[in-house]
Amino acid sequence: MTARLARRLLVAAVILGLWEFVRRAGLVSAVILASPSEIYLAFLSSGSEFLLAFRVTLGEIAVAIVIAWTLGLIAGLFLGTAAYAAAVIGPLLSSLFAIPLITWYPLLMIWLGIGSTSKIAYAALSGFFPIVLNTLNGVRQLDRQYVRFGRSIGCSHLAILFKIMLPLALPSVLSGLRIGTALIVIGVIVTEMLASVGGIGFWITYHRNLYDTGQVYLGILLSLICVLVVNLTLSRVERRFGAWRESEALER
Amino acid sequence: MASPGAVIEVRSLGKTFGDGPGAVAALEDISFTIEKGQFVSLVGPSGCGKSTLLQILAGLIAASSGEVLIEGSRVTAPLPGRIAIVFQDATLLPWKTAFENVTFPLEAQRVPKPTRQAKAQSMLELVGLADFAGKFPHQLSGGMKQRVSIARGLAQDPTIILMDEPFGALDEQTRLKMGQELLRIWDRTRKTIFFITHSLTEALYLSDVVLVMSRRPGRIVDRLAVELKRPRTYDMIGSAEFGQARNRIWRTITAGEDAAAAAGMVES
Repeated sequence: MTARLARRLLVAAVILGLWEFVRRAGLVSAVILASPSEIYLAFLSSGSEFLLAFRVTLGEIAVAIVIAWTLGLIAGLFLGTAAYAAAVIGPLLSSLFAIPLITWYPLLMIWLGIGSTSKIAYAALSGFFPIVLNTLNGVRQLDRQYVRFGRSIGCSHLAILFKIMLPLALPSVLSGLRIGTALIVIGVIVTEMLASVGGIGFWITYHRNLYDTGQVYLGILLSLICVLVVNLTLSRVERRFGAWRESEALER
Repeated sequence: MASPGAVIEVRSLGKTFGDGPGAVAALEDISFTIEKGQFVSLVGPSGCGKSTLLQILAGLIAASSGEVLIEGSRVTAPLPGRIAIVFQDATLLPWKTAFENVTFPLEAQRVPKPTRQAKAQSMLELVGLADFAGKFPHQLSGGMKQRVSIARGLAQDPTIILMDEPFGALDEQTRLKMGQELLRIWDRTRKTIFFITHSLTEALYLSDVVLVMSRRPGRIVDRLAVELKRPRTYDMIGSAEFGQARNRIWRTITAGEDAAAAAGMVES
């Protein structure tokens, strides 16, 4: 365990060293590449502003996740169990998912303004589709005997959905959540880059226009941290609810 | 109106799926009664509507005509706590232990916690799985899963247990053993059991009465009271009496098939 950690640290150190060397030796122009030390300097000079931007972005991501997960899961569950609704709405959802959603962003901005709301709306929308589609498909593939079982023991429709169907469909649901959440992070940062007054995406664009390559790299680093935070949370959720699936796979 | 002693009474029951020219008649004019504590099997060719009949008895789907009376009152919805179903797949919840799977229906029926734990414990003991209470379904064999499923049904203390080909997915040996287990459990609890199976041997070995269903549209074409003594043993399967009964059912089923085939040839 510690040996592996040491090896990883060594690899990271070598990469950072090479990176620094390439810049110091003047092999690449400062506009194209910022060295680790330059990124650190950028952090020292405008770290507090970036942290503020980081907070804005993380906040938008959090709200978008709550919206997309809630609506996506509920819609997916209901569509998955209502055969008629799924037959009508399912293909519509799939085709909506297939068009580049970013084309909707100008409209969202007109409706909701340039602030956080339009970012949250766009990100939640882009995260919603994979969640709803995966949940829907996961639920539809379940053995109908489980529904009959639930009804025969006196479960309400809601109890069947949330206590039986949703946990059973978990593998598919989780992959929907994983894709949806990744799209939410992308959605927030991209829309911040397009037009906004705050957030990491805004800072990246702002400093790129000033050719502050160090700051741009700092922004990229911070968005990476956003992704890390979100992924950690997600694997927590997975470990909490998906443990039996893993042990099932192991024992097969 | 209801016959005394009858726990299940089916009266000229019919079921048609769809309507218009595309309608499919699944069940036609089905009538029978099952007495309290009886073990009744239903055999018939696959696709003849056995499962549909079971679902109507359970109140899961509505009949198109006729009616089902459970203990004298007409069935319109599932009767949790009075009718329990054991499905072909054990339908256990994989994230719950055997014990939690048995208590799950009791939770839904708002049985107090101490009661449901005591019941789960004693039912797992009854099916011989007391030592496996903490195991998850994926840690159990096919036969054990089905025994948990039976314990789950029994724990609800129903009057009737409906079993839809419960041993159909098991291998021959396990299947025979499970049959004997089921008889032992039935002997201890004296529930009314309605048992669907493909296997004529299984039906005769287990039941007091065997109902024989025809090809679609399913009708009851024979009702055979099994005269074999209880307790039943494996040796009985080889007896002349058993063989004769088996042949009778076989002839009834194949006669129906031949007639259907002949009718098919005339039509085409």
